[in-house]
Amino acid sequence: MTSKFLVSADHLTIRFPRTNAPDLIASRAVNLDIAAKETVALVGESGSGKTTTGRALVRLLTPSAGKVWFDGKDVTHIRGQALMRYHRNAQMIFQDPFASLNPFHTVAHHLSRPLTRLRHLKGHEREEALDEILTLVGLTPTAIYREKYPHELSGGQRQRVAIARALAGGPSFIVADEPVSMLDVSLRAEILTLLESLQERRGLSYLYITHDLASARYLAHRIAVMYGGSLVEIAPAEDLVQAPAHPYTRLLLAATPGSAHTGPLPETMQSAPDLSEDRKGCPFAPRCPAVMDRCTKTMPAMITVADGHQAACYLNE
Amino acid sequence: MSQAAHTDAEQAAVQAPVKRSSRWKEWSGILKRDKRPLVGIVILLLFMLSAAFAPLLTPYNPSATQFTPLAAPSWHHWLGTTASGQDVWSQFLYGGRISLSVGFFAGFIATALAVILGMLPSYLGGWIDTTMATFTNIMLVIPGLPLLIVITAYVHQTGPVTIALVIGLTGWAWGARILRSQTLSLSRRDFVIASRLSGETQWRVLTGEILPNMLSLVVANLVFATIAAILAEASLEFLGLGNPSVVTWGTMLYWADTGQALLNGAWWWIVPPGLAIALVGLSLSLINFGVDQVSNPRLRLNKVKAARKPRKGAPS
Amino acid sequence: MTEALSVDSLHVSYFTQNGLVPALRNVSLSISSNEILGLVGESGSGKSTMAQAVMRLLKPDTATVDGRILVEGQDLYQLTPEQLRLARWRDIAMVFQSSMNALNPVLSIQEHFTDTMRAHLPDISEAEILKRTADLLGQVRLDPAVARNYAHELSGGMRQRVVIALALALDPHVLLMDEPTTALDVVVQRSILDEIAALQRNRKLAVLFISHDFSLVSGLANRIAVMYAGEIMEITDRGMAIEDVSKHHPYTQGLMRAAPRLIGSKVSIEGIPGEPPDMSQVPPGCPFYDRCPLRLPMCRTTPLPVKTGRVYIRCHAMPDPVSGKAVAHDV
Repeated sequence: MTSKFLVSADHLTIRFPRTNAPDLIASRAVNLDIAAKETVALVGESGSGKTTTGRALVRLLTPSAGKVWFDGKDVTHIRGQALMRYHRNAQMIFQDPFASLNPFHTVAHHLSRPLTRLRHLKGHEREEALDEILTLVGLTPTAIYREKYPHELSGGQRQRVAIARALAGGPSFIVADEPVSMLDVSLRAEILTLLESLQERRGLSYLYITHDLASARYLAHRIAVMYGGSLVEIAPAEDLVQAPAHPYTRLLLAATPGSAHTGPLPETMQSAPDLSEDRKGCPFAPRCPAVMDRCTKTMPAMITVADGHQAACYLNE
Repeated sequence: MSQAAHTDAEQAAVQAPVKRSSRWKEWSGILKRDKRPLVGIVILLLFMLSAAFAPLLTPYNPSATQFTPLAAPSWHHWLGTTASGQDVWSQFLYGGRISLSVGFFAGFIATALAVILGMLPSYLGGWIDTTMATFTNIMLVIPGLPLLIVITAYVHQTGPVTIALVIGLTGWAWGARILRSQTLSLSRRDFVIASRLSGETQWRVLTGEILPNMLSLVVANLVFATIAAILAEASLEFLGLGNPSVVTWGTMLYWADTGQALLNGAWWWIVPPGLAIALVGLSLSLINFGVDQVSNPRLRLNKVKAARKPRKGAPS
Repeated sequence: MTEALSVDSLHVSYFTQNGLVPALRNVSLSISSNEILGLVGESGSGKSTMAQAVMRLLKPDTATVDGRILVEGQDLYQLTPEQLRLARWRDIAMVFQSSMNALNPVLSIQEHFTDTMRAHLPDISEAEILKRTADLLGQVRLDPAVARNYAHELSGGMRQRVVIALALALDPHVLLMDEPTTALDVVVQRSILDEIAALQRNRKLAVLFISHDFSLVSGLANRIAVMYAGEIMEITDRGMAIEDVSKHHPYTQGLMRAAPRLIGSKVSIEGIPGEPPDMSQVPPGCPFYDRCPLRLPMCRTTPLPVKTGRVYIRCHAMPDPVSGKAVAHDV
């Protein structure tokens, strides 16, 4: 593995065992590389495996197969102290700011724990670091916010606290799992621009998980699209939006509000993708208007369409 | 960047005095709206104080058999006397000491066991969890009182402490099951996952993140375990399985029964211990209405919302 | 001409621990048949209260309702309970976000249709019911065989289609939809919106479509009403085209600048700083005053002008709009 990338998923597979049914494969041999200071958006509908993939990258889940690399090191199976050290570098922001903070703890408590555990700060040093992070996410005057409980904050303020907590360990990589989808439009913009400026100031890499292509285009350098547990396309953000190469990406783009697309949706039927272990071929084949015989038999590998633009579809051969 | 500049409105909102609805305020607010827990607290306090200050409230030794047997209530004997010439009022006061202590002690043991056996397996996981879950379910389907009778019959020297231990050691299963499922559900919450990412040890996640969110369940469990313990203690002693020479509300009923108080029309011998047990049970149930309101997330959420800003138009 | 739905100076306040708290203030709008009016607002803006008030679903002990709501000329608040029961579904029907989870799990889809039709049309024959059900399911692009299924056997999108078909069972003229596609995936959402647009055209329905998503509504509605702090700030028939931003109410402008776009060149976004006012202490002037970049001194104390008409802007700093082109991209 070259260390050109900060984080890499290498044939990452997450399997959930089921009784009386074939195993469910939430994430199937996903290859994804994220460079330092880069934002990759992972776009897909619910059940596409985007959250599972994100959680595996911060090692909240242990992959069933494949590897997770961080900064040239294999972190696939680390545990205990090593995992804790990894979490100094890799953090996560959750979707629902009302569920990601403990109602019994103050803002200061939420931030002082990672400062203590991950950075081993104490006393005066810790208090200073705490104020610095609060200022960084725009929660000033810090003295007032420190003592607040989550229920005394608005949704946007809570999400800022959650971001501050993720920053406390001094990470270089953050998985942001739908960080704005529960917020009102006017607050979304504030959180997105905050994430943007934090990237600049702290040199962060993001995996931005979302179902919203418009915000992915705004925030990300590259966009990766997942469907049915598989990565189907990855490209520089603008390329993906302007010239999608996978039929599913085209469908997603056509369906997104505010897209230029006005005709009927390019799909043959509506159905949920088959996630079971025995699925063969492309997960999108049953809905694909351009389906070919072999699509139902083998899953196409990623095919390069343009510079940095790859799609897993035989149409691009 | 826009987030750098907060508006006047936000600043003003921030600098307004911190409206802290402290836990105490929350509880007193509940007591103001709902009188039932308050009534419960008053009743329970009356019993506890009268038991604690028994020597000040009666001049007689509860075991002394020096008075006229089966005397009706009078100025000298407020609640009359027993068939062996003991003062019922002093038995009632001193008996409360043991009955309440045993009840709370056993309730505490049962709750402590429920917390440990409910939370710990999910922390240790694996076969321990599976085994514990099975064991809990077995304990649940064994009928309680017969089990108690069998155990107390085998154990010699069944003093109050033994009885409390037996009741506590057999009464944890319900609580354990509830706390176990709550632990499992809480451990999947985002804030628990986030604390794992913050480097918290699993022990700390359990005690610092999960346990506080279950406190009201624990208190409710304590309340019900105590009621159950007081009733179980009275039952065992009434059946003669306790030490009859120790004065408790249960042994009072036992002696009243063997002394044929009903046949002799000595209602003053039966009613006080029976009523006391019923009233203490009632008071704890009333208190639990208050605990319920603290723990009911819906009631709580509404309150917080109303306190913050009435966002009534908000989509559900 | 009688409007299909007209709301006239509607005021709604809730009884709360802090006294009477307004949720809707001076709301007036009307929808003629054959048009979709989008109602857009952020959380707490009162848009869901609007849906409940229009359906007369607010209980007298939770809220006070003032003003008139006319459906096809009849005042819903003057009807007896029995008349109201008949008017709901027959004259005005409603689909809301959680509708798809409100289907009775022990009844088949067919039984839902049968029960609804029987309740309103006691004399209807079994054959007629089956025929109409199949027809309605076909109109939302579902296989009529779905009627034999139970709710749990259908996907979320299919259930929401069933609910829409069910809402149309008695051929209402007015359809009220409160976030009907919010819980669904983008592709399913879009295809349901397509169906709503087609149904509206074919049946000449008047649709009040409530949503938090400006870009979604602007692809669907003929006109859009923008709500803030319980008041309608603007009714517009312009889309959210970037070059038109400055022709909108300052709050609408803020919303438009806050949303990342998918078409055109990538432009920076900015949020609206601050938060909506506390509804229990709404300021006397414009509720957006604190956050408004265009505010004038008078805006703080002078109430917003009351306006009626197809399109309007309620703002002291903005001129009245000239009607633009139709919003809908004709989906």
